[in-house]
Amino acid sequence: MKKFFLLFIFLLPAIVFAQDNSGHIPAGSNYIVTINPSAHIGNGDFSALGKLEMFTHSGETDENGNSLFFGDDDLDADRKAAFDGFFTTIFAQPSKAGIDTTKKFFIFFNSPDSVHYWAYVLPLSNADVFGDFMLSSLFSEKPAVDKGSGFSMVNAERLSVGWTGSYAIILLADYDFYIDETGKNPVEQQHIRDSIMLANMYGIGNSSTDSVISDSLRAQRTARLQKEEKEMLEKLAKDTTPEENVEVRYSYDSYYNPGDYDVPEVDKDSLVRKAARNEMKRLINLPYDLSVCSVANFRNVQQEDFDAMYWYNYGDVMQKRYEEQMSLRRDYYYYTNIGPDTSNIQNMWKGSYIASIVKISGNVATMEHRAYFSPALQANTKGMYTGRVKRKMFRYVKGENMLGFTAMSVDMEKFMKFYGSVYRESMSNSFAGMYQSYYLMVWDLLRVFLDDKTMYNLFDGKFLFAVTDLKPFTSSYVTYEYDENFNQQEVRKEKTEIRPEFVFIAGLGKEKKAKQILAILEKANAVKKQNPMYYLINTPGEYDIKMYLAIRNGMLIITNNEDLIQNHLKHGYSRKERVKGKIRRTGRRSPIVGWWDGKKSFALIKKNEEGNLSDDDLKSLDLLEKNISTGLIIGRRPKNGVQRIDVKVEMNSDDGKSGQTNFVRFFRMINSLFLIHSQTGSQ
Amino acid sequence: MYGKRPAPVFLLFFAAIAIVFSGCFEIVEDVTIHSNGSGTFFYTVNLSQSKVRLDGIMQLDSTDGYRVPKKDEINGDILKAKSTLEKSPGITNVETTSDWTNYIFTMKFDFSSVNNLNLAVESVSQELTTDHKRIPEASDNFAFAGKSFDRQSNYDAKVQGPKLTPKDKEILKDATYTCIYRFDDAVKSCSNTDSKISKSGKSVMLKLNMLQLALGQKSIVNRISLQ
Repeated sequence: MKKFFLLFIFLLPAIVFAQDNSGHIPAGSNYIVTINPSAHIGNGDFSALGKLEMFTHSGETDENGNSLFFGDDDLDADRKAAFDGFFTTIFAQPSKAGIDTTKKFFIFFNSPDSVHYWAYVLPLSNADVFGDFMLSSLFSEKPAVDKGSGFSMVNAERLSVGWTGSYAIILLADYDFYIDETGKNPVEQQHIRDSIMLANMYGIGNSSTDSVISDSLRAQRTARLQKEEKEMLEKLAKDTTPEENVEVRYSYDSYYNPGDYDVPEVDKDSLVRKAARNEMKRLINLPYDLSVCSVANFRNVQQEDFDAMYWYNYGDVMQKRYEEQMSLRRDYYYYTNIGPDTSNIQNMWKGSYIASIVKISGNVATMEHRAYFSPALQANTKGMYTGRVKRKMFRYVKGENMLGFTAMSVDMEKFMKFYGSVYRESMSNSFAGMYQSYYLMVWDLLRVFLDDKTMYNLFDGKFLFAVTDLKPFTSSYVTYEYDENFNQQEVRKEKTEIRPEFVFIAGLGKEKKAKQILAILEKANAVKKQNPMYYLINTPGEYDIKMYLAIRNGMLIITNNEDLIQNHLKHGYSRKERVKGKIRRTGRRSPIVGWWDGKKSFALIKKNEEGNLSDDDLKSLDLLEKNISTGLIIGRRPKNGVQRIDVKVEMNSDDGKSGQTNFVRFFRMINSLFLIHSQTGSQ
Repeated sequence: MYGKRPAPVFLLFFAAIAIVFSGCFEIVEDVTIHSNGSGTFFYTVNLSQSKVRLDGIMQLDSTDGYRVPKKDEINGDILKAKSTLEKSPGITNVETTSDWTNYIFTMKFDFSSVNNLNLAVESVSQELTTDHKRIPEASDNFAFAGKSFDRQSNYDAKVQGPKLTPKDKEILKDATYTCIYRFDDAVKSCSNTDSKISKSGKSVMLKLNMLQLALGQKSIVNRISLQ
């Protein structure tokens, strides 16, 4: 009995999660989107969404040539159109497609190696209906259905669809084989020379440095990476899965011949097709411990009530990005002896995830972002965000047209140690550390002149950044005039542009030291003293863009607001002019706060861009102005390794006038943003 | 060259930099042609009007779907262009400048014949594309036959114009392309009605809006007859 009980406990997660199909998603997937359609079926929500432009550009591409459905870029044009139509029907008329809308839908992206996958996991209410609908939607001629053990599968191009009695997986594959041209052009050759020089100068990659990775271990890991790559390619090349009319001419040698990195497109395509079919079989039979269900935080989030959820495998993605960067620069680390080792990054970030949970309740759309820290990060970030910004900081924030602000309060010593040391530690043995070394050098130089105590206390950890207006600013530019014989003369003219007015305020811990540093900067012509109160910062263009700096009341103030710096520096704005008490109190609610006045932002954009906006853009901005009230970001102190940041978007009360649910109103706003973005410059 | 290849490829890689980077810029193509067919080519890309935006964009990896090249990459491409020109037959005195404060880039060189000029322009544009393929728009742009000079163009607005995205149009709508041609002899006539002849009668200027050019509403093509 006891054994049975233990077995039951052990299998419980697998049993529970078998219900929602997430057991077919690999644990290492980069992104997972979960959609919970149950609350929005039967009330017209999905058919209303289906009419929005962002969902109805079936078969078309956006301005950058990308498809509007994830992953179908490489399908041929007809199938892409069919694919997009297929998905539109799934959401608008799920019963016609045999989809079960009482369970969750999943969309995920996984890039385990050079081939990456987009996949849709859909719950089925009727597998036969789904099979018929899918086959007739995606294929002009009925394809052969491959019957496996308990599942059916069809394949076309880089698309593979597999389904059982209860779920369907639609998988799209693409490749990411790199073309390594490293060292072929003079700039890269120079870069290699610079890398060697720097490596020698700072001893990076040399066994005598404080690297925790020994040369032999580094060599082992290099060999392992190369072996894995070779095995993957060989495995794919040897695969005997029948391929439709594609001759496999791929060989390992051709891939590794430095003079011939250009693997023929047809070979790559063949490999990707095979990879898609193999991956489909793997997903259908994915063991529990390799699925995302084995990640406790994912399991827990799935139990919560939400409309949609986005899961980002931050730790693994970070690791993959660095490895990708390093593989592109293979030659560099051979030259510099910097190994492709990313174990420190992995140790630091592995197990870090971000979950964004969307809930729409009444007039409020909440997006709760949760950062799950790895144990190593937990140790290094504990107590980093603490306290709240000072009330006096808000005196310098003009309230009339304020669009938003962010406020942050940190323990400076922990904060600087984290970014100065933890980042260094996590990257010191990777090639990324090479670039990092430029910045860390400055850090080290600072340590020569300033002791740790001064460095950590120069700022007191309170920071406030506010955008206080959108208004015309004047700057100069160089252009040409021509005399009667068209001889060119360079002239400088002035130009007025609408730009944000901002103020950045940082609390100072050591005002005397800050003033000393400012004096050094003045000597270096980085700042120019205007009067005893403030300086002009030497921005690119030699003081052309007016950016001011002042030290006042224990605060460092940087702004492009001339009125603030010239007339209100002594005591800040008057009570009437400064930001209201309610908003100020919001800014002091927690160590991380962001606040945004959506209504005012859109109204100001409309006012300032009058005459430049198309009718469609104006329509979209009207809708946004009418519907959005405010946005609020509240970051909480990390608790049990989880940092929560709540983003709340409040919509204006509708009183049912529009006849739409708030869910649809929210997506109509997103659709308006989509339209503004895609129609920019359409006039 | 960087990110998506823009539809209106005109002459040199500078144009691509400009399009990737900016919403307001000017390009000046200033060509001096002597009676014997030799001359000087002076090309300027001036992004100064967008410098505030560029200062921000240069800190990013990509913007609006275009990859933002790093300063080193651009400097590298300018060096690559210079080196290609220096190796090109009949090309001498190659000079390039990069003003990163005002975002103005220039390229100047002497050519011994218009054929050499065409070859040089073609070689540079080919060298700077990722796949090193020939760009038809960068080929055979100029022709000189003693008493007539032709500014030709292989850009097909009917094909390329409809491919322009709203973003491309936004980028090009405030941009200008100025052509100046200088001769030893006086100009008798110009086929392009938008062109102006200088007071001395020896130079021709054509200043065009780049969106109109890209859509085919205006043309860079010009036959200049000399006395």
